[in-house]
Amino acid sequence: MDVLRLPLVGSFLRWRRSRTLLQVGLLAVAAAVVVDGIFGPDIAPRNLSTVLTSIHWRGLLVVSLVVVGNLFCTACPMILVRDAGRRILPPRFTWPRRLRRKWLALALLVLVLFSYELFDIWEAPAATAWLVLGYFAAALIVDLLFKGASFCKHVCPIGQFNFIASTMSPAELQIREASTCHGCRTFDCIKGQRTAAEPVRLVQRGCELGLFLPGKVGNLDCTMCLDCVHACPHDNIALMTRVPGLELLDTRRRSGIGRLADRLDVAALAVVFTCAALINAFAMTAPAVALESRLATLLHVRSEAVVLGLLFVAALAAVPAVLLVGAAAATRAAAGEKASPLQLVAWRYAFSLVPLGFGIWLAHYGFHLLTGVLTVVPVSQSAALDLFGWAALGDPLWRWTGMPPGSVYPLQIGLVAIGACGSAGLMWAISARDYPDVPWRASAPWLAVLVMLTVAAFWILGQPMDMRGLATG
Amino acid sequence: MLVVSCCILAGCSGRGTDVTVTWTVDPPRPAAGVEIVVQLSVRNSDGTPATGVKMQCAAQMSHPGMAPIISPIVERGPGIYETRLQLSMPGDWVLVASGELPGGRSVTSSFRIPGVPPAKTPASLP
Repeated sequence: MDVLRLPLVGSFLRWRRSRTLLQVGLLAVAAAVVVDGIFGPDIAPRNLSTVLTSIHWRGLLVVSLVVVGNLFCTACPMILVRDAGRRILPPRFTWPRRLRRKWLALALLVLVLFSYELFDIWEAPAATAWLVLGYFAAALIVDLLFKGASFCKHVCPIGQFNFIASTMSPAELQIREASTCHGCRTFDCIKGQRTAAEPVRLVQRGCELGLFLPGKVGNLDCTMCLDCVHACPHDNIALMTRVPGLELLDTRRRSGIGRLADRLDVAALAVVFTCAALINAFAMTAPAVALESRLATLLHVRSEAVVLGLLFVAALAAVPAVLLVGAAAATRAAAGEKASPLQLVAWRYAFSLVPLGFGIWLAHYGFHLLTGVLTVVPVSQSAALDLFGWAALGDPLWRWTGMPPGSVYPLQIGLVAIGACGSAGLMWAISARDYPDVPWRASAPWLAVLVMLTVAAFWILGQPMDMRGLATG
Repeated sequence: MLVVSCCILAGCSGRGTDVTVTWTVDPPRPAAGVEIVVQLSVRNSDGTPATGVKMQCAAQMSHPGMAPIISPIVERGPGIYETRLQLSMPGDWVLVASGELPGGRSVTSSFRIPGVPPAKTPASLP
């Protein structure tokens, strides 16, 4: 089904100003986050800055990814600001070739997640506001210097999270008819559209992330900006529904990316995406507080940075390395393929972890969204009271929160279980593709890893919450 | 008799008021699930007790989105107000007292209780 052909929704998305409208909306929200964060109460549950980011933005981000696709990149307000800046100062440079892999963005993603825990940004309205401002500034600076969507493709940590998560989205921008593209000589989808009357002026830009639509496979690196849709003179681009996650099995060369088999950086992103889901949820629990205290005592350190750093290294590097290399060795032995490098085997299966990782993120952020969705009402009422000096939106209804936590728990377990099933399916499919003679024996080690990670997720979700600023203090 | 071991002068604020609120929490390091007694001393700018203040206390976890525990604050004596509540889970909490002074001016004050531990069961007590 082509979403762009649906009434209302399709018409809206095909309208050239739809993205701008969404971006303006999110820019207004960002402005509220910054203003209340800096000038509002320094109490996280009573400030729009922390409430809108920790509850609504994170939750709606993952929900929209699973319902439609990368809508938050579509509506990214930073691009609006950057576009305005480029009218004054067009970029002159091309992003350096040596930095075109995901390593920089992956490091920044890990840094953001680490900083979130270390500085307890979830309870710091002003810090959240300054982080948002800093993010806008970074996007503006990078894209005023470098052409295309350099910030989105090579830097933005949130973007990388969205790209890998969008492999699980149910829709994808793709061409309708290959024959139409074969006859195209202008390649507007990537080069942009110009008119015969003014061939020098670009009237509609093409894909700034370097995705040539006839060669585009999947959602990686696609911000759903819809520039390709607006640029194509043949109306040959559709937003097609599809089976989520299947693109992770696709071995074809992807425009703007290459083959997944050649992209160790993207495989690493997939692993970090999954393991970060576990550590991010674990950090909110009572056992995490106890573990941090015990480590601090054992190591005779009082610095949370050291203890947290060790936990992150363990969760995002050491443990995944042991699990993946171990499973790869077992698969190689089962298949009788002693000559295959272990890392190549691990690399192929790494992408199969994404459905589980996405299930855990959805369970975690979905929990906060469902249990706190209504908190935006009293916080907005309180912000209006501070702004106007009277209850312009009514007296704050502080009892308004959301669903009881206990009632969300079964949903969380279900989401993780569905994600685990998706990962199991991918593991089997990879084994059937690469080891057709021994698919079960090749899958078994990976299924064992999957069971371990899934059980860990179930255990974490069942732990009592204990959100603290300083476990070692 | 309350054991005063943690008093913080939480200057009052936020909405143009001139009162000062001093918080006392007993026990000073409460555990989750244990009733705590919160006492507030509210004084006018000239140091006299502020009487007739109508307030309620909302105890909220420092992480946004959690359900608050709301309890009424009653006046026990001139400028002395009290409420009782139980913090429902371990972690960092913030208590927010908000209400109205006689004359209609609003008052808001907050007090942080970091690191509330889980409730101890009898078997785990030393």
